Amino acid sequence: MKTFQTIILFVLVSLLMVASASAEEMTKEYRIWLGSHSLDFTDYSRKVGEFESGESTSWMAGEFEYLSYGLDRQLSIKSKYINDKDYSLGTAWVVGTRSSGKISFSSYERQQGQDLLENLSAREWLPTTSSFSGKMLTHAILDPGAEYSIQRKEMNSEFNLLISDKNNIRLMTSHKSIWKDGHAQVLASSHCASCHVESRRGQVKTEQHQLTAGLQADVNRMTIGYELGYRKFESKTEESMVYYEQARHPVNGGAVGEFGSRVIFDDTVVSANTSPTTEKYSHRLRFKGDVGKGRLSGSIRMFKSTNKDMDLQVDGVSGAFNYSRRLSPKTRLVAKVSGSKIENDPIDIDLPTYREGSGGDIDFDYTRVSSLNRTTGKLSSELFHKLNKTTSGSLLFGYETVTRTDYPFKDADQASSQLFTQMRLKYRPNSDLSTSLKYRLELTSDPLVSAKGLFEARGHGTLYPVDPDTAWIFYYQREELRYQNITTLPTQKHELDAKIGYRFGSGYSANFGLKYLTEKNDELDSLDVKRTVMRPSISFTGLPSDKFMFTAGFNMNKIKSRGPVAVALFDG
Amino acid sequence: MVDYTNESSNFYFNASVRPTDKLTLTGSVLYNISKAEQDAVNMPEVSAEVEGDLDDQDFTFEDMHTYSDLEYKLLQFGFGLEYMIQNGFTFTTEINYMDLTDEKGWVFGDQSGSMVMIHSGVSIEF
Repeated sequence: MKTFQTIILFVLVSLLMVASASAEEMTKEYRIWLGSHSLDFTDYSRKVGEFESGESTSWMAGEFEYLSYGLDRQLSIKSKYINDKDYSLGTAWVVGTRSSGKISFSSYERQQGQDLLENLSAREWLPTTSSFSGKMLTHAILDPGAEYSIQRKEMNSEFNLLISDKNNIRLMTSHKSIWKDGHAQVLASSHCASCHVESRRGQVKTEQHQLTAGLQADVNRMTIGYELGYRKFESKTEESMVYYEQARHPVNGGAVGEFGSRVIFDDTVVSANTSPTTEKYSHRLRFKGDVGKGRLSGSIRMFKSTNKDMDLQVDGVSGAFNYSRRLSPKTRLVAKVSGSKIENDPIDIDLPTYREGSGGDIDFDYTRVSSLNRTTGKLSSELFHKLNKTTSGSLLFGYETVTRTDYPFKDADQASSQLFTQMRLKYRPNSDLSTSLKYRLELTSDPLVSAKGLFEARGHGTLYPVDPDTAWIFYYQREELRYQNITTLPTQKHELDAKIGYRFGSGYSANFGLKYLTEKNDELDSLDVKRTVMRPSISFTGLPSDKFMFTAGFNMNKIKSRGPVAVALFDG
Repeated sequence: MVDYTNESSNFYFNASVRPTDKLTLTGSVLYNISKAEQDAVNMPEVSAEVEGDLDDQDFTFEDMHTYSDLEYKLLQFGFGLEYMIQNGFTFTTEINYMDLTDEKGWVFGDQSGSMVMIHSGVSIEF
């Protein structure tokens, strides 16, 4: 219903604009297209027709375009209709320097495949019986062959209105709404240790609305603006209820009570596929203007984001300032400094007592401190210089630091720092040839890691029973054996970007490009993380006559990553 | 440690020709090859790592790395025609053919398929 109201509002605003434009001496142009849009699929349709609305054929499709323009004003309307899932509407207008705006509404449907989960199937080999008869990993698809699709609708609007000529006071607003409606594949894992995964059809019905409103004014040599922002995300999805199986020994089916005491959900129905309702408020103050012989711009922003279902909150404040100054007719300096602080509420985790009544009775309740908590700072300085009539270049140096409060454990403020530099050279000897070359180097110390996230040391001689009346060593005790920090973030990164453009003859041109990036982190004991990216491209454009033109080309994106592969072993 | 390679290549050609003042023809060809593959996982000798405690385990993962293999080939032809019947009145047609070949079929099964789309009608301008 809200979508329908939105379209009505859209039409009314457009008609108002048309009426307003009609009052003036305007040139008007109309274009109407009527026809059909037909589809025919062979074999599997959902990948090749991923962004088509199923296998539907529209025998009545249409487009409408309107453009009116005068001396200082313009109005355009564009609309396209394929079917009730695939359509768009848009209008934009300008009334001199006094007012401008645009509104757009679009809808499309995306088809999704069904993950067959065939990789979730394994059985432990037992040498004693010489057979695959040990613990197992299984899966079940409860809706085999199901077809999932989600319709995505988006509305955007922007308004800019001059309120007063004095101080050039302007009101600026913007709005964005996204609706998603359809069905998707929902996974839930159960059994004693995530040994069984079930897939079922789940509803998707979400809304996201974002509004900003602000004022801007010129004061002396500065332009100052304030903006209030609001964003809300809400899921109206019906809850998918999932039965978590009774926990038991995965091979012989026994020890029900003992295994039940190890897991959080056991022999119960719980909701899955839920998303919290979140709200975000933000305030932003920005300014720009001439200061001395240079130009200063910057902004200060505060925000508060709330999870309405859990009463959790994230607060943040950030600021950024840029100063540019011409040092000589051929040289310009740009200095930037920015910083931010984010605080996320900790969450109290309430867990069942581990192995209650089965030896152990361990209370694992704890407070999870967020790794989002951080203080950041960044500063850089870049010098632009024109060497001669054909050559110019720039040189950048910068430093960035991130301190993560209470990470990886309470009061341990893990800090990363990065030094970066960049050189850029442009050479254009004549109007036919242009070249550019950029090189960037980033050196990072202590990038964010998953602390002790991988590998265990030998346990014998290190771990002992916590209960003197039993000989058991529990799974959770193995946490003490973990030693390897892991990350995919590099400590060294080199980036090269080269471009050549050449225009030969009349109406022919060629462009060559190569982006190369290599990064690595060899400071993680036994790990050696690497990544290489290569993106060559070549394109030709030809205009042999005023009746014939063509473009042709080739581009490639190759990414090679090197990382650890860990295989989970049954029984640890 | 294992290498994972992801590669996507595109070849394309677009052309537009206006043989007469009333007729405009457009054509396009796109060929895309996308591949992703992981090198074989060579696990270390367990006995050397755990001093014999798990030496009766047999770790073989000969085919595990192939679970991550992906390979798609997409061939796309496009053809467009605009013929002005008279001033302000134009016949338009657009035909697109796409053929996708899924060489691996992991995750979602074999997704090979083809599609023909015809978008045709008349345009009035005034």
